[in-house]
Amino acid sequence: MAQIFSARTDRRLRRLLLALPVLFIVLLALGFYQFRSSAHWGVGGTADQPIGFRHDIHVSELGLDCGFCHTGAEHEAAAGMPSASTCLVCHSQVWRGVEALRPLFTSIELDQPIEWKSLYRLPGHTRFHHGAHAASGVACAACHGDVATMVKTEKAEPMSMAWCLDCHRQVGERRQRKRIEALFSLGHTRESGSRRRPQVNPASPLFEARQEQRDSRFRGSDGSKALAAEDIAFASPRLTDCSTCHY
Amino acid sequence: MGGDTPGTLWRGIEELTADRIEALLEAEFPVLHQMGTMDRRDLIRLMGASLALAGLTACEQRKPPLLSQPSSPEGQAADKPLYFATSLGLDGYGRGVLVKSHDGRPIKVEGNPLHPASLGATDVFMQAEILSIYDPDRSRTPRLGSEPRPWSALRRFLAAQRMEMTADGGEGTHILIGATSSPTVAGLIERLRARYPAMRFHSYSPISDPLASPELIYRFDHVDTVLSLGADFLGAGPAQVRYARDWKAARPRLIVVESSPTLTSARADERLPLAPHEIEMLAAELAAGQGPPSIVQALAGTPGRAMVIAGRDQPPAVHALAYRINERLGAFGNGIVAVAPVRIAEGIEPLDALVAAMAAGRMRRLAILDCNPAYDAPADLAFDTLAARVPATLHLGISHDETARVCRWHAPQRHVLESWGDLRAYDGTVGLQQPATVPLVPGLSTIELLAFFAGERPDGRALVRRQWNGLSEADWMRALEAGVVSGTEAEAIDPVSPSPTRPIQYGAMTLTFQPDARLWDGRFANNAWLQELPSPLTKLVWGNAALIAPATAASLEVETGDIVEIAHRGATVKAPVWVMPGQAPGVVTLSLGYGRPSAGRVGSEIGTNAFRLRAADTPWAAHDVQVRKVPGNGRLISTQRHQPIADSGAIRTVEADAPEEQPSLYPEFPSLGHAWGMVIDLDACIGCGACTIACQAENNIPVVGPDEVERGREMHWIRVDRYHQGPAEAPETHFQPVPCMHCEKAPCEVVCPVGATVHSAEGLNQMVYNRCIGTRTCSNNCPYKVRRFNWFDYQSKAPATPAPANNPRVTVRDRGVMEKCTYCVQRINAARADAAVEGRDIRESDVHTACQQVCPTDAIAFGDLNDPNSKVSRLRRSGRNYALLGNLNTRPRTTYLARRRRRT
Repeated sequence: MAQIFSARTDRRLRRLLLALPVLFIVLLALGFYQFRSSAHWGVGGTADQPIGFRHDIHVSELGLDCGFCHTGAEHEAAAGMPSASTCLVCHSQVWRGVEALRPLFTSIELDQPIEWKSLYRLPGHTRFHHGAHAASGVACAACHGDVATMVKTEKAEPMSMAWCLDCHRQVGERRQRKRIEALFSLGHTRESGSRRRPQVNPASPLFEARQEQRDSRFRGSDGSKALAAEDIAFASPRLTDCSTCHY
Repeated sequence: MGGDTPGTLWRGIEELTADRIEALLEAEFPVLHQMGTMDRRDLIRLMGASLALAGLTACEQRKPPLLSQPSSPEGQAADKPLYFATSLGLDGYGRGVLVKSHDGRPIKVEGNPLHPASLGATDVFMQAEILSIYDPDRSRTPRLGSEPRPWSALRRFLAAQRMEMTADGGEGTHILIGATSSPTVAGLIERLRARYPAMRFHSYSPISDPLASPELIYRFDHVDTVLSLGADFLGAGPAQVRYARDWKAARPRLIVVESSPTLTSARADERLPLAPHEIEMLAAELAAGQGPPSIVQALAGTPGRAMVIAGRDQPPAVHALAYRINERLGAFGNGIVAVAPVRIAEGIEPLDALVAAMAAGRMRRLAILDCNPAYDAPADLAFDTLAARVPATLHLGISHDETARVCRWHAPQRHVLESWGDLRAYDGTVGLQQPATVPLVPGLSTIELLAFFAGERPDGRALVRRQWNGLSEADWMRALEAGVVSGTEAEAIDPVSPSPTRPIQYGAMTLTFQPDARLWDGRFANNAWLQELPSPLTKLVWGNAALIAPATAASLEVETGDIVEIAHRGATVKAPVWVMPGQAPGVVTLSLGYGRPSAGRVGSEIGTNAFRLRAADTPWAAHDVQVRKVPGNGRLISTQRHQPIADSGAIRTVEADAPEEQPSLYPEFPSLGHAWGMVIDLDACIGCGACTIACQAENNIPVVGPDEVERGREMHWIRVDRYHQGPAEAPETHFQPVPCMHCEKAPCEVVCPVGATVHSAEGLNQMVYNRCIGTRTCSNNCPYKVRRFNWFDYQSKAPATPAPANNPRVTVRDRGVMEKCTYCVQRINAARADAAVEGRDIRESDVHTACQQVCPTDAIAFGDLNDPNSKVSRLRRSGRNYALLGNLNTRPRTTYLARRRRRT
């Protein structure tokens, strides 16, 4: 009986078989590279908005503070967008009648909100509290870039989970280190002032007392370590807990 | 470990009989009993399809826009909830609440700490109002007959009627209002009467007599001994929350005499199951100074600090006897205060007078506002046939219900969370009602309709303001913010002995009625949260049953699930039997509110309609009924044996003075920051189920429907297990709320193949929905059986919760995902963010879990175990503290306080 495949076809098939896994790995690597790239997350991207708002004029030239328009930025969960009436505080006088500002008046007349396209909207399963980040000392520019110079607002950072975690890990480790130092040299710290205490709220005596009560669990009665520093470090990765952002 | 468990705990009566193994198997794997067989080809086809479609969920791209609102009101921010103080009615009495509204949508009800009937806690009905406002079956347009009509047509009809009434002075015009205590309604009635002198007003409630005078208020913190003659003061009712709080604070010795077990008798120190005629005999003996020595001694042992409460379902004779005993005990002025009627009664006639006028055929017009007599009036009045004969009838109601169907015109009513108004609490304190949202459906409130008749502008706010024009603008704003008008309690008056009526003809078998713990009188029948809430004692869902004592069931030769036909004065109903431990022999009990012909898509034709056997002269008991077994099997769905726990000592009891807890030999779980923990006091828990439904509202927990519950797939994150102990004729009853234990050594975490359930630094057992692939291994490994799996897309299939009712701070879970109690992590994180913004640590008062916040008896404590001064730490050090299945060393963060032993 004759062979079904010739020797040449057989060779080709063998090569193809070999190439398939290689191709798979290459595609996977490409996909991974693409997923990690800024382009995938739209960094540098802009959006066409109902009003061609310019941050550079309002912030750099007029010197408006971020919180003037984004009133929730420092205290609320959402930074918020200015209402049409906030814009009209000035624009009922300045640039009145300009076609580009038409949506402001339409909004008031029809009692309908203006819909802006969001560059920074996080996916629905992620919870974010703007005020808590601002209160922890994260500067606006750390996430939003140098908005003051942007003619058209662009996305400055990828807002990926990896990007969030980079920061949460760093801050967590820093706090952890400070905490452990403070914990095991408390006598020293007390005498030398508040330099080494965790920076959350140094003012409140209640806070201090309660911290002390908790920390005593980890010290022997003579002030020696009851638990290894690693145990404690392991015990407090709160900033990278899943339920910090997902619940 | 505090306490011990004398005797065996059992959940279902089957466990006491021979087929114990079979019963346990069915309880553990309810699905195995009904699982059909699947063809191999079908299986492969399904697997292929689900594989192909698995990736599609990732294709969805939704990015909601950022919104610039036209204007920015002060104090409001996007994503920040607002709270509105208002009052919710039950049987005409108000209960104060704070309604949490997110972006204009009411999403949660909390108790109003300033309101005397709430004190910050709620019952199940208050929680469920959130679902009612979004009910898709709400009436949306006026109707003539069953045909929808525009509002202009209704307005023309009303204007024509008003002209005719002006001409005839309201002759032949009757207005029937569901029992209410609203001062604004009272003011409107007065103005209507001035305008139409011949107009007649009626008030009606299927649960109580709204015209009773005086009303009795009980103060459990003023007594040491309470004898209840069928009074279920810890069960559902307008003062349940307050009475439960007072009872818990004082813990008087409680003796309960009753026909069918209630929440009150589950907490009694002594309980006597007696048939209604035996209760009357016992009351007569006690009034004569005789009777069982234990009761006589208990009442006499605390002079001036004892009282007798006769239940709403007792005949006037028992009320008169209770009055005599109370007078002798000196209870009036101490434990019992008689007050002037809280609900509107002056110049109001009862339903009987309305029926008599209808039967006489002289009625020209009838308006029925906010009640449903065509369904819940005593059957022998034949209200529906008589009402159909009145020439002009108008019904104002929230849905197109049974009464709407016998009236010519129907007008949609505004939901209480959309309307202005006022209601008085059980003690008379006035609570204002204000809308928490713009009307979702165009409608009229009761006061607006009455105002239209009175020729006033139907503007709810103006009407209520006019009623309270004695208040200055500042006081009015303060009252609106607080939800109560201070200094408006009902005045105390002299108690009056109820007049005993002619003696009742008792028979061999008595049928008694109870308002349902979930549906009340049927008004909540279309509320899926309440339909799926297990009934506190039977754990029945989606239906009711005829409760029969074990001995009576044996003599009738029936078992749980059999059908009986109950006949009384020519009317019959068929109901499935539930053999009820602790039921008095010779008494059949049916709960009201089921079997509604037209409640809506959720609640129509579920269960047995007990109103069909109800008579006007003896509304709470049908004497001498005939009960016989008929062929067939009823479908009873009970969760009583679902999620069993392999702990024979699940419920522990201690002597009153328990020793401090011994230190543990195990090392502590290291935790630097906060260590969240929960302690549930079984001695305070009354088993009402408010925690279950509050958790459902807070955490977007889906309703799964009767079929799925039957398979053991109910989704409640906190269930209340009910255990019995002792003989089935008179058992002790225990309740145990079981949420996720948040074990420090959690068995679920180690078995998850994808790390979807992991531990947080603060001790939360976290569930990461996006990682979960639905292997359900965690649930299998959980000894407490607290994990719930989304077998289907429960959130989008009927009877799903409408999306606007969902809490935006909690993820809505998809199909194929495991979920469970999170210790309300969204509340912890919100408190943490607020603390960070204010630059301080989280305070103990900042975090309350949803179940903790609503608990009427404060049985649930939640807080930081690392803070030795927190309430939860203090309770943990108590000698009553014990862990469920503590021998497994899972180190649960949720622990229990043992029940104190009964005082005999």
